[in-house]
Amino acid sequence: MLSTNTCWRGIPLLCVCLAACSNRGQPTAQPTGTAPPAEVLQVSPNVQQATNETAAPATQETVVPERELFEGWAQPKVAFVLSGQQKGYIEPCGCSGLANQKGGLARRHTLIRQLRKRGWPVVALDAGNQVRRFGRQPEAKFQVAVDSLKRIGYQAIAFGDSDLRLSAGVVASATMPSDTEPSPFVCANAAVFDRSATPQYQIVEAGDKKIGVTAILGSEEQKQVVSGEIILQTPEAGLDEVMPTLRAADCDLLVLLAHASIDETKELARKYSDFDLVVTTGGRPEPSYQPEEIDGTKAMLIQTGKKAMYTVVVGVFDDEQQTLRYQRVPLDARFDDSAEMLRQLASYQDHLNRLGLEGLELKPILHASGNKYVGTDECKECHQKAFAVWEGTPHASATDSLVHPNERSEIQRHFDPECLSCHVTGWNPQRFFPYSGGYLGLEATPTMIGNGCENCHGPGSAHVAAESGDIEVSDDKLTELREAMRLPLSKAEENCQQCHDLDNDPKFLKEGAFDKYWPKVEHKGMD
Amino acid sequence: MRIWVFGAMALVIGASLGAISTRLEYANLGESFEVHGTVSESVSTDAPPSELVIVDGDTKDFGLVRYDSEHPHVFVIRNSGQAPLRVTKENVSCSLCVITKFTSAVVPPGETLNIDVTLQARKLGPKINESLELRTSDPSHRTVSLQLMAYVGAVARLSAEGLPLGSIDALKETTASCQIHGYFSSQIEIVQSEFIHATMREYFDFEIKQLDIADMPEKDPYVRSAYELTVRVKPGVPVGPFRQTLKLLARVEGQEDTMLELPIQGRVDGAISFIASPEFSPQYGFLQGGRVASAEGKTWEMHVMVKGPQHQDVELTIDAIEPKECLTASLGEPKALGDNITLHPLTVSVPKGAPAIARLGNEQGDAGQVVIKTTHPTAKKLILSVRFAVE
Repeated sequence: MLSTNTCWRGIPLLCVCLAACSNRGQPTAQPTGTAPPAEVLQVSPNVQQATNETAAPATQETVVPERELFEGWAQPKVAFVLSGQQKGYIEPCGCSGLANQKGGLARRHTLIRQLRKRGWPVVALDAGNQVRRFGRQPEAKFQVAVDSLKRIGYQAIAFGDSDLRLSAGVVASATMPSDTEPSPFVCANAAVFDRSATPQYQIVEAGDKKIGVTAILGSEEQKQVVSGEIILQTPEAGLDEVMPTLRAADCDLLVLLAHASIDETKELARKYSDFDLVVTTGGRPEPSYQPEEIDGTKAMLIQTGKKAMYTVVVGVFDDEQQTLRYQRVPLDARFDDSAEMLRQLASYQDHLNRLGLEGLELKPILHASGNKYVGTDECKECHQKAFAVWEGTPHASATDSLVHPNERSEIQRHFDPECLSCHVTGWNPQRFFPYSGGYLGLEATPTMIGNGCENCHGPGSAHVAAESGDIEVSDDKLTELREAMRLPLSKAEENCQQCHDLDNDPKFLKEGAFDKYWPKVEHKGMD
Repeated sequence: MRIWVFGAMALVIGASLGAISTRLEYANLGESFEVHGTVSESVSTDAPPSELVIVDGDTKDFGLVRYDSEHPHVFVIRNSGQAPLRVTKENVSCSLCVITKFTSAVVPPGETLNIDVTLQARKLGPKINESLELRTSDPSHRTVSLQLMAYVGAVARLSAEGLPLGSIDALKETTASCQIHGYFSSQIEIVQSEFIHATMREYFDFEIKQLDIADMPEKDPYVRSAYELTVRVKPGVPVGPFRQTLKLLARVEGQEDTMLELPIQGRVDGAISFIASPEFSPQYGFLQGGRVASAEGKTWEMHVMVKGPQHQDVELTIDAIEPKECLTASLGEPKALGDNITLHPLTVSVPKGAPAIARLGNEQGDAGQVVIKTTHPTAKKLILSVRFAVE
């Protein structure tokens, strides 16, 4: 039997359900082209309620055209799917809910599969930087990212500077052609070990079009690559070598993937004016809504944005009025996860598990204070009230949320240092390594499970040793050690933001958010 | 009572219809391409056009700013057409960085609209390029992107994220450089320095030299002080990969001290070495195969790299595999890369149907081995340890 309260709570749900049904019955703006009707879904027509802070009052309603993905597109001859600057974001981390985050290979694959299922000849190209940072984990991630792009069917992939900062052997192993499989990697002016190891261009055939693709690594980006095993030329030198062959190939379209600043990309596009599409990683954080032109060229400029939150789809049409059409596609929750890519993500986590911290070459480092982490149980001995508060917060179950994730729950994350660093005790939250005494595993260090006291207050070995009498110290020293464990409220916010950062918890950074969050974990005094 | 019965029925019916509708939509291709959270109106198309003009440009560059600082700006949009102009906020590139209360407005002909925007420098940058995107009823400006740019300075910042040196020659000194840039003072003092990995500390050294700011490239116009940081790796580093981190404490008068961290990594190769996916650990010399399902088997593609003047003459053969019943290995056609390197493809497999075994290199069983014999004058034999279990 429902209580009155429950019934009242049900009313909003009822309204939502009825509204949902009601909205679906509303007339919908019709697309002007031949896109399938299934793409058109009604949204709330609430313009009348929109607030107007600054403008004069409305005198007449006017049209704000509804924008749909691929609105008015007929079947293109070729559909380019363009991406770049993934920078390690093979999936949204999910800390603030997958529905609130864009990007990820699983959604990108779904988009491409849907386009292919429509019968569109898809040519998928990536302008580079699959990872950020360097070291064993980015190497493992690079391998899974490249393998995933191959599975998705990418025809050409450029090198980014972050890719080329990884061990040359790992990059070569993932990107060189084998006896049975050609490599989709392409770069006119960078290669691993030897110029012959990476093709300088690719010829792709799709629909009835022949497409030449080349790529460059920009001058500034090259400065980040210091390994002598990476063979580098200036972008101009590389393009000078490639262009005669590409021109002679009699392609219908030429594409440049420029892992370079937007200014350098434009300069190159003007100098080598044969390109129809110029894709750059050097622009804004998000691709522009509309395609851009490069003065003095016929090229359409495409910005990939950062973190692969979007892809850009460019359709090629036999239409003299509009040969190329442009669509920015946010990879949001409207795109289901591709099961194949989820398997890839699971495989990556399994890989991290097999490597372990030893295989990832992550050795505990002594904290700058010189102290070691001792675990929350030690704190509990004296600070029982504070412990009781902590125990009731999500901080206490932070590790459990990796072992049993709420979303994509079949993929455990408790072997992933990029997740562990904020979900266990005794790690550097931004640099993804353990401190001495910090968490090493569920069984190896059970007292370091959860985001414990010491993550805010600092490692407590000296304080605990002094209080328990394991070391003899003067009263002054005892007081000094106690003071060192205090975290003044004035510094707490900055400390919290080490984990509650722009990527993982943007709400926390909004004005006044700390004052709202703080009471949930507040504890005072030494009890 | 009746109203609750009606309510409950409406709830069930509504939920069912919603679920069916959703299911029908998502059953077909293209279901992801709907409009997403935007607004629409339908009006006759023969109305006179509105015409949008952005007064004083669509881009505001705040120049050099400090992290976490706020920078307000007002974009002005004028309607030069004959019909009212509807302007609606579509998106901001970063909701923490681009702050505006504007949501939508109708601008009568001849009037202007002020859009107040504040850029919060919440990213380390250094270059920040954020946008506020608008939809409008002007047919020639359906979308407008207003740009907010800035350059986030720092007391001191390294020009490189790290120094990945790749393969180095153990007999020679190796050097690599990056720069330290200061944005708020012409002098930076390094008051503390340390190579943090004690076991490798003896092989590392560094020096810092102030650069003439006039020599700085134009592309970093806000730098007020610059230093060349050169890291030296001394001869004698043992064969295998190495890692080090240089920590520097930078001080500028009147500013909070800044800790700079420069990770350094590289490796010393022998004449013959394995190159492979990260499942191969060059530090410990084993392939971490993990647990393999017998019904599926597993294959690892690797290369053996031969370097040096005889690289093309060296021949490799598989000499021994252990345990033979559940591990196979084969070498492919060698491929020369330039004048100094030949790569020999190496495929290691646990075949489908292999018997259960534990060779994880622990108390349950030693790691498996693939032994490769070579004709190299000094490196006669190469051993690959394979840690795996068949289940």
